[in-house]
Amino acid sequence: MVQQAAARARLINPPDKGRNMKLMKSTTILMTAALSVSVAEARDFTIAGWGGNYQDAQRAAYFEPFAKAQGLTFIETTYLGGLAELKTMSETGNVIWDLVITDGATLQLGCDEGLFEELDWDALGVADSLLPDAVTPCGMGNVVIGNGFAYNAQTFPDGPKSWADFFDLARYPGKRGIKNDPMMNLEYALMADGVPPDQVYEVLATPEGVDRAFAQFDRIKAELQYWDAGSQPVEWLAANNVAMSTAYNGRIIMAAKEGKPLTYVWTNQISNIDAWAVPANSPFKEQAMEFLKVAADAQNQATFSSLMPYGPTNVETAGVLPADVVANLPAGENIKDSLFLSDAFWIDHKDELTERWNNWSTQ
Amino acid sequence: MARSIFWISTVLCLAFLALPLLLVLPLAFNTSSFLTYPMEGFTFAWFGEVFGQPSWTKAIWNSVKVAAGAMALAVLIGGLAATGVTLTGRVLQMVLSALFVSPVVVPSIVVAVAFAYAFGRAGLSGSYASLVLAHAILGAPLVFLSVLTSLRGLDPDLDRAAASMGASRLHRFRHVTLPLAAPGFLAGALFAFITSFDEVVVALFLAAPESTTLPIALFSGLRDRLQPTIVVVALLLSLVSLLFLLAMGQMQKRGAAASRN
Amino acid sequence: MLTSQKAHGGRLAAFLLLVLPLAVYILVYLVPLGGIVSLSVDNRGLSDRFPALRAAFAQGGAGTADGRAAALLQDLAGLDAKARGETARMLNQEISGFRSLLLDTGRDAATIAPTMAALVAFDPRWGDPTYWEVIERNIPALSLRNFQKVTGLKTGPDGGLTIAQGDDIYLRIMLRTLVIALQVTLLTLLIGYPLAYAIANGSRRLGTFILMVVLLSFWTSILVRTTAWVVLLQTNGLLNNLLLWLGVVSEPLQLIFNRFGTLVAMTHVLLPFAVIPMMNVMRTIPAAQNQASRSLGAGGVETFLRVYFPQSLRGVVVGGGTVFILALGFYVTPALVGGPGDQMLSYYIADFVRKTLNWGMASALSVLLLGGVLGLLAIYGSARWVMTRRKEGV
Repeated sequence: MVQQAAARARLINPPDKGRNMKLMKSTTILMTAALSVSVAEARDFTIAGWGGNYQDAQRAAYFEPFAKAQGLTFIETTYLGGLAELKTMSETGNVIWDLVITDGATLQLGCDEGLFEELDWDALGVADSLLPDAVTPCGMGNVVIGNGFAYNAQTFPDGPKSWADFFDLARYPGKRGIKNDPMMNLEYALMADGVPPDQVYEVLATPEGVDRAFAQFDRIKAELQYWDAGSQPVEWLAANNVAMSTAYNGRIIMAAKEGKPLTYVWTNQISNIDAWAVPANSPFKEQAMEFLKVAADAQNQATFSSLMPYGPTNVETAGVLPADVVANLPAGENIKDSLFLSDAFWIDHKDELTERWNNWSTQ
Repeated sequence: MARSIFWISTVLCLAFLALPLLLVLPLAFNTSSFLTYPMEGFTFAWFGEVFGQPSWTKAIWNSVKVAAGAMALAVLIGGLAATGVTLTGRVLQMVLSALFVSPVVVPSIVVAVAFAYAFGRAGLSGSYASLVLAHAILGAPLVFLSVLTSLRGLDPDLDRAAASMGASRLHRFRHVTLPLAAPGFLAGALFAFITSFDEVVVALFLAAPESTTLPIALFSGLRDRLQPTIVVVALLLSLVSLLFLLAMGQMQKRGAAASRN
Repeated sequence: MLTSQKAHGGRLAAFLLLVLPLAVYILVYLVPLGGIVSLSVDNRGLSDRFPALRAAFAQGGAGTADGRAAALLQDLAGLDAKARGETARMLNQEISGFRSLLLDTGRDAATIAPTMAALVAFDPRWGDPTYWEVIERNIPALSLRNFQKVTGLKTGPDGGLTIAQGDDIYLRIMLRTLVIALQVTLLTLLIGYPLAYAIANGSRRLGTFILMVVLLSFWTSILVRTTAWVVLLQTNGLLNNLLLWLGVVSEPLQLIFNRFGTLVAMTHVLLPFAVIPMMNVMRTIPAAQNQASRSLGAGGVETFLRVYFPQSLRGVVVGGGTVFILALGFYVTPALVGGPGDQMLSYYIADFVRKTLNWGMASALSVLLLGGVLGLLAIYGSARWVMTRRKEGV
């Protein structure tokens, strides 16, 4: 009886029904709101860079003049390398970057998979002023980076001079910082083992060559400490956590300018080019093309190189730069015995050699 | 002898648990940029730096937004699930409870990869919505458990009494069950909030630079450069945890007082 | 009749209440997890791109060489540049150099005569059977190649399974994951036990104080506590400076980016998960038993070992099990305080997704990790079930 009454009460109880509906309604609204927050958001022109003072210099030399000329606002984000984000953007159609600076191998891979816009070099009209290696189907080479090693001059007053010294624990004892990545490290090892720069990739393409490179690292494995971010070697060297570390020339020279006793070794360093690319279907494609013109400009590149000691890709820039700036760039006398990074080699061998590297480094 | 073993082991183990944070967090006020003792002087400058940098303030704001959204959604689904489950049969209840609690035991990296792939396909990657949904799934089990516990602790006589007086089921739920289970909902909500606020692995895979949360900013800051601002952020996160714990303590006290009356 | 109506109403209410949470769980949680499981064996990304080759290989005996060459060229001509790039990337994961081979051939597919001879003339690598074997392996829509790679197992020329040297990397990483989790479990139990004991048996004030510290630690984010260890363990960090100042060491010790740092930080992070279950069990142990034992003449230590400790074991098992299962999936702490030799399974899962976009391998490793955790939980659950049954039986 009681239950029956309750059941009847339930049937003829409109306020409850109304409340129920209200609850359902507000739930639906909440869910929809939560889902739509991002989709409809209009966004600013977005530039993804490598962060740190590298990006600070780019902001002063390129981002700000460009934004001023175009009358737009931009936001910056940090790019961690690789294609993961770009792949997501292409698959979802939600393109959240308009420009990204990346390395040659990634650029080529992404270009092959249609993740970047193809550049119309005729329309850009800047190809003639750039290094030939800077002109590629999907990217505009903008920065020449020096990859070598550095040491703390207080630890080694009579400093190491070559890759052979880097691998020589007897003469130069102490920990070594290296990037946890086979790219460049295997080249360094072969040069330490006496392979001339122009034969490095020939040797590395053979299984014996790879064994030879790993054998070099085997000798110093106990002293290795691995870095991920370009700022780590600088911190570690300055704090004496490591005696020597592979590093980017720019970061080391900047630290030296701030008074840290760090020295970068130019001998047999590796040069590579960082390039700007435009993620496919960016809504700001037109503006991005204008940016490329700003970034290719000789004067702007000179501003960048004087703020951050990386080399220009515009062949006329060197003439504009003062000699004391050029002395710190991967250019001229500094790169007379340099190796140029082979993107083609790494595109083919990266998977296999990374697997072997991981296998070796985790043992 | 037993007493000295007791004291020595207790003090040593307690020191291991408590000292790391007690030693490190004060460095947020150190004038020197080196993270070590002795402290050179006392300053709030590093706090100023954190609150003056858009990258940090934006991350703080993002974290609050995501945690609030995740909390609301988690309370909704966790609360509904818990109340619904109490009305089912024994076997079904066990199966459903296992399902609703399971996100807690699945390793976060697996959840992260699964979410990243699924949301990527659904066109949601990098959005707040994806973070809110993912964190809601991680918070819902905690809401579910705390609501379920408080519902189970309810005196069934109360419900029966209300029913015998002709109250409808919904009416009873609203006016009898819900007020008594409210502490469970509230505790669950706090759990869900703090879970999302502290979560880093899933966020690493889902957040776009614009939706970067505080833990992600801390994680990348740690890899990039160790400086006092990092300790400031760690201190802020610890304070949130402390506040949370105090709130929980208050609620428990009130709950105890209420049940005494 | 009345009761059935009531049950019916209950079922309806339960259904209404559960519809939304179930829908969200299924859509946002179970479907993605299922997606990862199927992704680990799903090879359609490659197989769908080779319809003609699939038909050629299905004809048995792998068709004629010219038939295969023609099918390959036909398939390649059908791919746009983007699809060709993706295919090349995936095949290059199997064998170095396949990328450039496929891209070059694909670009000129229309101009090459559909015979094996012409194909080999275009690029002699097509004469190497290894490339064809890779294609054949990748043509089925379902493939166990990811799991093969994870286990390092390969079918040898004689059909038997072998593990090539250096291919056992993921097996070793799984073993390492288990070892680290076990070490951390033992350490947390060792350090957590006295704390749990003090909470349950110390004075009221001491117990409350320690419990507060444990709870505060429990609710402080893992990342924050890891941060503290990074600051403490640096080469010129707090701990080293203290040791130098005390004169214990003459130069800084390497405390971070190695196994020591990983174990210390993980133990600290997981400690509350061990303390709380142990404490809960210890609180149920009646103090009267200890007093009885002592009144019978047993010493404090003896009473503890023979009376107290056996009863607290249940909490040790629960706490240890919790810590072990949580430790298996750890990512953040080892990534920040460990070196390459201390990374656990999670690290490699993240690596595959973030660095090489290899979702197949990431999901295969995820399936293993998930399977391991669920397997352990199942064992744990059934052990508890058996124990309660036995208790009821007695």
